[in-house]
Amino acid sequence: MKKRIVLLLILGLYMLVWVACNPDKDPEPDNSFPGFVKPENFPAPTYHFETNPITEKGFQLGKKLFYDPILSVDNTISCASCHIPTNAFAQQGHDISHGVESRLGTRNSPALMHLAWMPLFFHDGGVADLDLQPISPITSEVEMDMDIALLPEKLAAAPEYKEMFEAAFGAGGLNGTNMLKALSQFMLMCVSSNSKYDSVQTGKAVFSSLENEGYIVFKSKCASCHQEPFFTDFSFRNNGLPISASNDSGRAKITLTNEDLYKFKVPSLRNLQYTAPFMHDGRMSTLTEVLTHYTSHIPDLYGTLDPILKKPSGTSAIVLTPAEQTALLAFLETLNDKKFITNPLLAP
Amino acid sequence: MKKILLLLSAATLLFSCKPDKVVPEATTGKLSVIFDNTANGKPVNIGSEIYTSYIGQPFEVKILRYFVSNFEFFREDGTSYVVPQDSSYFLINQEKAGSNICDFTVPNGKYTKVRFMLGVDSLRNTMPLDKRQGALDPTGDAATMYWDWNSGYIHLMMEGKSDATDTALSPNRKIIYHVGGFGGMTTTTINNTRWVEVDLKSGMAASINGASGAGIVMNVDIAKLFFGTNTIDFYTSPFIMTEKDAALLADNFSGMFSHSSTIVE
Repeated sequence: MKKRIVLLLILGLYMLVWVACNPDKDPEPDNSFPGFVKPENFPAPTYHFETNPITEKGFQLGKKLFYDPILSVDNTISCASCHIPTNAFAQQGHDISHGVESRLGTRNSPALMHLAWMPLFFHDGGVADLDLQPISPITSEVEMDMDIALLPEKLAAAPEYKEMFEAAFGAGGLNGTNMLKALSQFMLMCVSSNSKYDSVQTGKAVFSSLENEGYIVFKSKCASCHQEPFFTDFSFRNNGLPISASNDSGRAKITLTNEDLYKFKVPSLRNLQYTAPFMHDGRMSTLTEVLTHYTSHIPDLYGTLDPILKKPSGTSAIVLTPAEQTALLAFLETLNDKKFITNPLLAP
Repeated sequence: MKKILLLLSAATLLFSCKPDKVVPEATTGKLSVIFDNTANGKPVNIGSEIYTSYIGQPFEVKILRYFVSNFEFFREDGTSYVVPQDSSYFLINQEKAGSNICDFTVPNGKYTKVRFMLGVDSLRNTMPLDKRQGALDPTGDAATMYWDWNSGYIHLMMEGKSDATDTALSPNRKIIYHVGGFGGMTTTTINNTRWVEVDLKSGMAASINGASGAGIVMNVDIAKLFFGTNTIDFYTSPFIMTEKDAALLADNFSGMFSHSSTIVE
């Protein structure tokens, strides 16, 4: 009997030591930095990770920069002023966002997601490298209006930055190039892949019958431009909107050809619940308006209307019965990703 | 025997690891190209000095900046030395003393012609941040010479004033010329870079021989930006900034450059 107790005691001691020495096995939540993880139902990313690998310190620095109004000339506007995490990094309720001194530009702040797969940035696709993208909002007079060449000095004078840059990029790491790389590291992590649609794709959930009907409608009526899994094919198209007061020529501004007049990047249909208003200039505040546009006849006002929408006069660009529209809207609901907009890793 | 072999192999290793130390004499030397900005015969000074264009219009220079890149130096016999591309980008900025001197290390030889690009070539305009350092840093030296909306460089920027302008077009009599356009990222657009070839004056070759280098002094006549293949009238064209219109200026680029002298260093 005594022997047994001693044996048990020894065993207990061993277990204690074993548990103490294996802290990883604790059932506590895993707070370690996950790095960039390609979702199961997504293709391989196209971003050049080899020249800017994501590290925890680089990501944390990028996140601090993203949320810090220090990037603007008068310390009032941060990236997150117009790209709010709970709005899927768009700005809900604003057709056009405000820059410093409440200045207004001409385009709607787009949702930031899936940038690691995006070939061209901005509504007109003017910039092809995510690392070069932030230069535009930082220096734009109607956004942050900051002389970017002065930013490294400004950051060095603020608390924490010098240490954070050096931790992420090594001694002397505080410079403009690394600032842009860190911002990319944060933005690349903005991946929305936990919607109900994604769960269905990975076999973890099933659509309701209405959602499924909507999915079928989507595939036959919308998917040619809004391709899965990003719900955009990243192409530039003229969807027939009359030109606005700002006479934004869109893609033609970049390619300098009349064929591209009034073409804008096809937006994703993910997270529509959080990203209204819609269209490149935010002119439509509801999905009903959007569906009304597409189910009407769309005249080819400027000769560059997308061929898919070109129909004989008096006929709808896309035919959708009221029942199909109801189903479609139910399907679009499944693309809203609550986990993405509440992800603590991406929150300030 | 074994010991000898060991020593021998150690010696071989030592030699093979230190090839740099056995350079008998310098086979390369320093060659500089010095860009002297002038306007119709007068040296350019930023400020209110008045110059005269070749169609008789007065103008002042407030900003004068341009990229020169992709240098190639030709020898008498027609052979040439192409500068490694990463060391071949310079931003000449009239406001920044010393920025007009471009230094190179070239093989010994007698050079009689220089070829370079005015602007930043298409390929470099598509490169990642790590290949956009120094003169090309869009967050540093090149910040004012970069179009953020299409990630392209402004090859040449000249701004100033002219009393010859039509005040209906330019109320403050400003003249502004920005030449950008690198040919497009995904669609072919306008490429406003231009190659410039300058023959050195006869008897003024740049001889490089180890320690003895040379400097090629280049006259850059900014007034010829407005007078060459195309004539730009300040009255009708006080501002040119779009790629399409800037091609008129780009076509005048090569006429701006001529060899003025060679100095022995």
